[in-house]
Amino acid sequence: MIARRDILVLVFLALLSFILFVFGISVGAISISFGDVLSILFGKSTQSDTWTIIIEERYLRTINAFFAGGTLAVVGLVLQSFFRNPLAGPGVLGISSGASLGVAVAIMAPFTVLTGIFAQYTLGLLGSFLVILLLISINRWIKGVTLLVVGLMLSFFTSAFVSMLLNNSTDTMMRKYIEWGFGSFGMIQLAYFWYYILAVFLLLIFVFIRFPKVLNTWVLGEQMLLESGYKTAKVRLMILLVLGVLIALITVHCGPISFIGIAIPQLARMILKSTNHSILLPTSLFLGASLAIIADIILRTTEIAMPLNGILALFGAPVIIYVIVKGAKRGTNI
Amino acid sequence: MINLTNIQASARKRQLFQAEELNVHRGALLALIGKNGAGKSTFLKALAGLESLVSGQINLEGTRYTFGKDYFPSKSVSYIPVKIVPFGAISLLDFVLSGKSTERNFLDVPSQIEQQEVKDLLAQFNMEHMALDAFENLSDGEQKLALIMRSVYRNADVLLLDEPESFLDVSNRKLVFEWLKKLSDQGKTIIFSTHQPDLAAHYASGFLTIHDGVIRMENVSKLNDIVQTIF
Repeated sequence: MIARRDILVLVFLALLSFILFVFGISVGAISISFGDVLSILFGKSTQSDTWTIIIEERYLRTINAFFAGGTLAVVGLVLQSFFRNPLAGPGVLGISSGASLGVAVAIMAPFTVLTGIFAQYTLGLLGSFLVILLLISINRWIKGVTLLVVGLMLSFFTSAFVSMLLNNSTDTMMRKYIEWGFGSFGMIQLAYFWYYILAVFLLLIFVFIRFPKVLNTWVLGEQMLLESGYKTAKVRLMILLVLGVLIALITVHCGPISFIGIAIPQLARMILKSTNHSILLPTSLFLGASLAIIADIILRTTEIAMPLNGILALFGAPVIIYVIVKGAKRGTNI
Repeated sequence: MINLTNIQASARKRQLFQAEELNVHRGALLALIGKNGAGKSTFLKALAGLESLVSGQINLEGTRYTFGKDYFPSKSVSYIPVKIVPFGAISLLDFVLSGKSTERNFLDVPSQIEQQEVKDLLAQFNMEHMALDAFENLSDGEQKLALIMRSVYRNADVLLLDEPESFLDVSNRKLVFEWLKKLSDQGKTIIFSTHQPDLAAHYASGFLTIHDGVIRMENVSKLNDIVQTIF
């Protein structure tokens, strides 16, 4: 069941994220009026100078923030329902640390198989896929909170190699890797950008169409999923694969972005009365997109030297602590 | 009618039970008894198509299937576990409505008619006022009723229950078994495993026993002898 109030909340959040999107393009070192932004967005050209600034600086990174933030929130929501654990998220399962190792190899390894940004993407994706495969193969026996411990261990395991690479790298390489690790929506490679956005967009559509029904039953337990006629092995594979690809894509393009994927789904569950994933998913999307754009605006327009992950931690950590405390009060174990 | 032929179940290379032929008539209300580990849950889950430990043939309302091969009867057969713990604060109403989730479109939003049907079902047990309460906050008895309601709501013809009396107090037990009796009178075929043969004998139309690796059908009147030999 979906409460009418929740539909209004969703519409409000969709509008909010669109307004923030326009606002994100409009503010910056040179501010562009809302009207100009809108007329550019709807295909009417204004002065060519303005157009260039928007295209190169803000337009792409705001689109990136919208999709990356929204997707991470959606992925986090699916993972929490999938593992039946409110603390699951893209970062906690070790998928992004797999990507980190791949990117570290691409940037700092003494040997070069592939070069440039292409190597970063390929190895980052490869690293996360290896972790996904490992998670898929052990998930049959290890469930719930233990799987998160496995994810944590995988992070330690991969970071051992990352630190080895860091020790042997030059200052320039090290700086490049650390900057990637801070996370940013501004690392845009025009040659790949639209393919990446298109891939994320198509996968999101797949998630919105294919996942809600499955997840609505999945939260009742695997037994009920089987009982309702789903082939759990297939469903599990589908979910982990789609999510794995999404996490990998976002992580190699924006760095390992923390907290959006854990805190936003919590917030969505708190705001909505409905537990139907067909409204939880889009609500998470627009909330995540809004938060990402706000964080990016703060980064670009203020003088604070805090990276993206820092800003997100300031927001996310309190939300997560609040959820744990609230859960403990109700007597539910996390 | 359910007809089972040459069924055999084994777990970890040990044979659990076998039977050459078993017939369960429509509208039967059968109690399944046997020692711990005899394979009661295995049998129920196999009938629901959830378990791959059983081999053999099943004829369900005229259609023949082979266990572990082509037997996926999710539409007509429903397995009801001892207890479930949902993730998130799903409401009682949504929980029962989820029984027909697979028949809806991708948004999985139940219609007004569907909601009314479930509310009517809840009203039969004076539970309509708690329709929006979270499932996790209901009492064990209410949760058990909700589990059965979910299977009834989705029109399953065969209900397989794992220890329906567990976690329940005397009055809730009575409520649950009386409802099962009523459902079997309406034509549902019901098999439930139980550790309380005496209680079950009040309601059941027959017994299924798993003893010495054989699963058999027994008459209710022979209950005392059965209990003596098994336990």
